[in-house]
Amino acid sequence: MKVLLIEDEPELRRGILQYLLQENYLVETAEDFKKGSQKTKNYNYDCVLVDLSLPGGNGLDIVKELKREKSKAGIIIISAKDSLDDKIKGLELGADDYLSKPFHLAELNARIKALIRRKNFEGEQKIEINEIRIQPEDRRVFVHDTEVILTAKEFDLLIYFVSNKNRVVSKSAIAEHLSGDYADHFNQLDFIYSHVKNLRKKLVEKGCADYISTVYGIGYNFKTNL
Amino acid sequence: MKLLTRTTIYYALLSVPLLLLAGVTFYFIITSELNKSMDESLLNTKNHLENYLKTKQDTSNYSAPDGDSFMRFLPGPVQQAINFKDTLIFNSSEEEYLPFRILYAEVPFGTGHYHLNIRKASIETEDLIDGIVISIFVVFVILFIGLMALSWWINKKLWKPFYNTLNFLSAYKIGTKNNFTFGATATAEFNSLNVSLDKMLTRIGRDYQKQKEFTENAAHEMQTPVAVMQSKIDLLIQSKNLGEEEMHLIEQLSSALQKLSYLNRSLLLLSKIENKQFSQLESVSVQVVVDNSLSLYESALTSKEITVNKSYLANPVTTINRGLFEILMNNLVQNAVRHNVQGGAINIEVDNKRLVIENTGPAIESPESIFERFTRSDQSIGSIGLGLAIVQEIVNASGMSIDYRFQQDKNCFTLHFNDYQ
Repeated sequence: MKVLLIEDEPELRRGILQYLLQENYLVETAEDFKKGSQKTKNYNYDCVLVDLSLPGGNGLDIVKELKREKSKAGIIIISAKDSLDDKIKGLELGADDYLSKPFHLAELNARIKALIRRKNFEGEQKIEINEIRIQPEDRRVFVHDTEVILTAKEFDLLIYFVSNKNRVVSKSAIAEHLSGDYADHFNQLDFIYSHVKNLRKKLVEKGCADYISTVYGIGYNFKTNL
Repeated sequence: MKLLTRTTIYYALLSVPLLLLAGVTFYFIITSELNKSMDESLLNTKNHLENYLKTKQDTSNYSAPDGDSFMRFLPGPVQQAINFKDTLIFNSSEEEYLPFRILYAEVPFGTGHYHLNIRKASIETEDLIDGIVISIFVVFVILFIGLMALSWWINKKLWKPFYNTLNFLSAYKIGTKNNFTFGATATAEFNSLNVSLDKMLTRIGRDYQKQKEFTENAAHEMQTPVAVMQSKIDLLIQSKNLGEEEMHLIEQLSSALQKLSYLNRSLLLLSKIENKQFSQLESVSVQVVVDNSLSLYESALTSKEITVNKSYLANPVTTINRGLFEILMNNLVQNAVRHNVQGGAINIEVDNKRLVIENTGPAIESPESIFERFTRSDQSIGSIGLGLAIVQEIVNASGMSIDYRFQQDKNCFTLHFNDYQ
C-alpha cells in the first residue's frame, strides 16, 4: 500500500504520517505543490491525500493532473477550505473523498480503508476479522456465518472500529463520524455509549469474542488479538 | 408629525396673537380716524351755524330740521372753549342707546352768547369690533390656506431631495450592494448632507467588509492549528503508558478542542453564508431533507423518548443550495431535540408554503433575541449558541423567512419558503 501525503503544515504532516505508518502503509510526503505534483507524475500510489491550499499552487490541479493521466490512485482531499463548493468541485474533478480540517486521524484512516476497499475489490469487498465477516456493499455482518442484524449506526460503528482496529478511538471521533459535518455533536456523546453497548451485545450473542474494550474516559479500542 | 405640518402649525399659532394685535390696533386707528373726520364734520356744521348766527336778529332758540344741531341763547359772556364729547343717547324707535359724538361750543351774540350743541351718530363700537373680527378671521383663514398650500409646495419641491435621501436610508442595509448615488440638489444643506452620508456609508461599508473578511480569515487560519492539536491528541491516546488521570485530562482537552473546532467551523460557515459563497442552487425535496435530519438525531430522539409526528400535506420542492438547506433543517431539528423534555414530542407539518416544526419544552426567555449569535439558554450545556443564528443567516441568504412563537406549551418555528416557487 503506497500512500502519498501532500500537506504543507509540518506538524500535521508528521501526525498523519505517524498514524498511517502504524497501519504498515508505505507513506511518502510532499510539503508543497511542486514536490507533490512531481511525485504523482513519477510514481504510482494507491492513495493520494492532498491539501488544497498549498505553497506554489492549488491541490485541485494535482487532482486534475492525476485524472488526466488516468491514475488508479484513490484521491482524498484534506482541506481547511471547508466550503461546500470546494467539496463539490473536488469531487466533480474526480477526487474520491473530501475531509475538512480539523479531522480525527481515525476518521482519515477509516476513509482511506473504505476507499481502498472500493478500489481493490471491485464489487467483491469483504472484511474478515477472525470470526467476523462484513459485507460493506450490502451492509451485512456475519459471525461464524450467522447473520447479525445491526442498525445503520451500529453497522457504521463496527466498520469504524474495524478500520481502526487495535487503536484507541475517542468518543468525539466516533460522534463526529456518526453525525457528519456541521452537526453539533456534543449531545451525541451520550448516545455513543448505548450504541457501543448494543453492538457489543449483538456480537457476543452470536458467539463473537468481546473485542471492544473501554478505554477509561477517552473511548474504545477494538482489539483483534485478545 | 411631519416637519412641514409642524411648521405650518407654528406659523398658524404665531399668526393668532399677531392678528389679535392687528385687530386691536385697527380698532384704535379706525376709531381715532373716524373721530377725526367726525370732528371735522361737526366743526363744519358749527361754522355753518356761526354764519347763520350772523344773519340772526333775535335770541330765540334754534333747532336744525334734522334734530342734530341745537342752539340756545344764554346770558353772560363766553365761558367755555370748544369741546367734543362722546355720549350715548336713547333712541326710542330702536329702543337702545346709540353712540353719538357731540360738539359743544359757545358763540358770542349780543350781550350774551349762544350755546351750540351739535351731535352726530357715530358707528357703534360693537359693529366696528364685529367688522374687524370678521375681516381678521377672513385674513386668518386665507393666511392658513395660503400656508398650507405653500408648505405643500415646499414639500413637493424644496424637500424632495431630503425625502429621497430619507427613503434611501430607511431602505439601506449594510453589506448589500447598492447603486444609489445621492444626486446633486440646488440646496446647499442637502448637498452637504448627501456628501456626508455618502462618505459615512462608504466608510461603514468598507469597515463592515473588513470585519467580515477578518472573521472569515481568523476562523480559517485557526483550522490548521486546531487540526494539528487534534492529530496530536489522536496520537497521544494511542500511548500505552497513560494512567487514568492522564486519560481524564486528555479527554477534557479533547472535549474542549472539539468545542473550539465546532465553534470555529460554525463561524466560518456564518461568514461564508454572509459572503454568499453558496451560489449553487438546485431543486431540493423538503420531505427528503426533513427525513434525513430526523434520522441524524435518531439516537437522541430515542434516548429522550421523543415522539415525532410528521404530517406532509404536500411534497414541496424548493430551489435552494442543498448543503445549506440540510444544515438549516439539521439545526432546527437539533434545536427541537435539545430544548425538548423527556418523553416530549416534535410535530412537523409541511405544506406548499411553509414548514412548521414545534417541540414541547419550556418557553424561551427572550424570544426577540432567539436568532442572535451566542444566545443560549443555560440548561443546554452542549450548545454554543450559533445553531439558530446559522438558521437565520441561511434563511436570509435564500430569500425565505422564519418566525418563532410560543403557543400551547410548544416552541414553534415556522419556515416560509421563498416566493418564487
